[in-house]
Amino acid sequence: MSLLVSANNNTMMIEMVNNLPSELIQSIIEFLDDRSRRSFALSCRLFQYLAIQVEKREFRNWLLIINSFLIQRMERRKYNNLTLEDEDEKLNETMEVMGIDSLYAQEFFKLFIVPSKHERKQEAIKEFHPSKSLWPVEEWTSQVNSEGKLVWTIGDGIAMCDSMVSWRKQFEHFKYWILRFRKDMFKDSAVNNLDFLNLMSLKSSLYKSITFVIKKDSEPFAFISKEIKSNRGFILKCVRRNPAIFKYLVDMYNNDLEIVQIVAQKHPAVIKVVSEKLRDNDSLARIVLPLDGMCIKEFSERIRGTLEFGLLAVSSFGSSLQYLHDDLKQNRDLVLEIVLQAVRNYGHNLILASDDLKRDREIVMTAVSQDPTAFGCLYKARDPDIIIHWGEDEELVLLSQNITFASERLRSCKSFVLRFIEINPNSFNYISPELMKDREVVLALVKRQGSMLEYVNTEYRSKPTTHDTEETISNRDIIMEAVNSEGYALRFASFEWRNTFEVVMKAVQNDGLALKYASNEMRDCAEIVIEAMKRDYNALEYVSHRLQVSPEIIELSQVLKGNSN
Amino acid sequence: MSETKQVELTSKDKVSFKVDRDVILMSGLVKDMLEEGDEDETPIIPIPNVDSKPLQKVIEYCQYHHKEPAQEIEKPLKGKIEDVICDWDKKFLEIDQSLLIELIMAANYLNIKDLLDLTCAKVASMIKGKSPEQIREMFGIENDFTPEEEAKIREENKWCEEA
Repeated sequence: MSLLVSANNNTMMIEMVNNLPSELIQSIIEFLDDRSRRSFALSCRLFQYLAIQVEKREFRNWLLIINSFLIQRMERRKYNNLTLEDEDEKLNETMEVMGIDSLYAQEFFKLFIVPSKHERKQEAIKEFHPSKSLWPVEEWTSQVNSEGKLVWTIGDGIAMCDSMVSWRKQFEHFKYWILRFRKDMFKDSAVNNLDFLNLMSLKSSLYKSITFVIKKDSEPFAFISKEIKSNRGFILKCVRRNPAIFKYLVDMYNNDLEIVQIVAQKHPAVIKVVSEKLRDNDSLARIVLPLDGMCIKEFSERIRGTLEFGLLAVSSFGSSLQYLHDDLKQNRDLVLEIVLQAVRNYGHNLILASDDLKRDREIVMTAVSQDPTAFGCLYKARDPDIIIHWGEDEELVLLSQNITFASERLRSCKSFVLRFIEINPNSFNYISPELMKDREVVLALVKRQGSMLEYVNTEYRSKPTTHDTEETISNRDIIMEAVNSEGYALRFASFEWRNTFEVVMKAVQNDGLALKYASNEMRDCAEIVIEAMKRDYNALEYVSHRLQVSPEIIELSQVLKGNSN
Repeated sequence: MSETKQVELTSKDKVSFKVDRDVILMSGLVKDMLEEGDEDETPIIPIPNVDSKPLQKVIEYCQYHHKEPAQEIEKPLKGKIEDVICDWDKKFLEIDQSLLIELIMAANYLNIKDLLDLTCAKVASMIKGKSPEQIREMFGIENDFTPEEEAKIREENKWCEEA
């Protein structure tokens, strides 16, 4: 053997190269993985040649399968051969199928007939001939295309070009292509059988290809044979790359804690498909529940009944409270913390607490503090007494900021209503009719929010013809307090008040634009107009026509405009 | 009680081995020859391509595995060969390298697929994981690629590194 350079200690290996027939060296190569094959092929030309022979053999197996697939489709077409008299629809349907077949075939053949630039430069480009495909030669026809190249065609659309070149790289790409883009091709055909799957399993590069392919796409895993799936080490590697492949591995690995844990970190809902044993696993619960508390419903009774996991679940998703074990929900001491956590997390989880817990002041207060509207959850209690009970709790109703939750008694309680108005003036419309007429309450209301004057009894908004000295709090007091709070409140005062200098002055001092609601007489009053404009230059718009052209107002407006610029 | 039928194998160096017929039927070659030949009591079958030393190992292999069928070795080898073969095979493979090569040729000649796979896998496991340089040193060969050719092959196999 010319490759030998000198005798060395590896006499056995030298002997091997000298004595072993090439087919036996190829048998050895078959046991090498891709990386080792690559190293072997890179050693010398002879080893490269032998490694290529092995891969050619493997490639032929692929070819067999692809051809069988294509032939099967062709035969089906022949069997359903449609004449011109047949319905156009059926014909179109058939053509559609053939079109797809053509595409597959072209894609497939293209992989090993298109030479690279480097290969074009080489002289030894082999011609394509139908005999090199496994398709019956008599099915092919040849013609010369516009470029003067010989083109072989078959069927309705499968055309072959003129040269067949180095296919080794394409072989790998072909397998990649099958996995990545043409996986559907095998879904419902007879090729999706053991031959295909075995090939997927046995050929060394498939392992590499699969790990490469599944980085972004888990679907090719649907075609992986059981043999590959049973290789746990490989599966572990794949799952780390793309946990989504687990959906194709459920049958085999739904009891494998290590693999399920990896998947759960990305997809906590995996718990839905794991074994009963793993659904009772503490470490898995510690991974899943902080990510998705609702998953607790998939765990065992023991986990659902454990305080630690209940807390994890409700901390992550308060509504998971509903899936905790009944015992845990009933045990007040244990569940208090959980429910508190749940309502702290989301006040409306109060709705999920049992009626007993809805009677617990700490729980209800926590929920309503988190979200005042959570008080409404108490209406969902089976026991109607619960809402009646809490409607009497002043502090709780105050927390809810909604007086409609208060009982009739509280809505008639002056001290409570006064406190409530301070928190939410809009509650005025829901207090008892008696208190709505209470001058002290009305005064407190307009003091808090002047514009609430709109809802005050019209009687209190009008200007009495005689002095209403009988009342401790006069209508005047109410109006003055309202416009003092919000000048805009002048809008809701009676005409008489809007024509009263003192009231209008107070209103424009608060809000210059309140001049809009003053009587024409007041809008023609220089003192008021000047005060309004000082407050808001834009009040000029509501000044009477007479004053708008008066030198004093023009001068003032120019000064104010200059200041604003 | 009838005696077990035997076959006499004669090696290249004229050493004879008597072996049970059932045992040596693992060899495709011997099986074919026995089917073609007469029903002699103890047929003598020359094995002119195999020396006595490897032939003895072949018989040893057949004697064990005709009762304990060998498990198929998966291609490509995943991990070490020791991880996928039985203890008996591990001990059987504790031989020097030249005998291993002779065994490959003997298994091929005698058409014993399981033995051929076992011995080929053993050699493959010795090559596995080695760099091209180490393989060249191992086989005592020189690099006859041009730098351009070598770069091209490496480029073509890049996916293998990426995967």
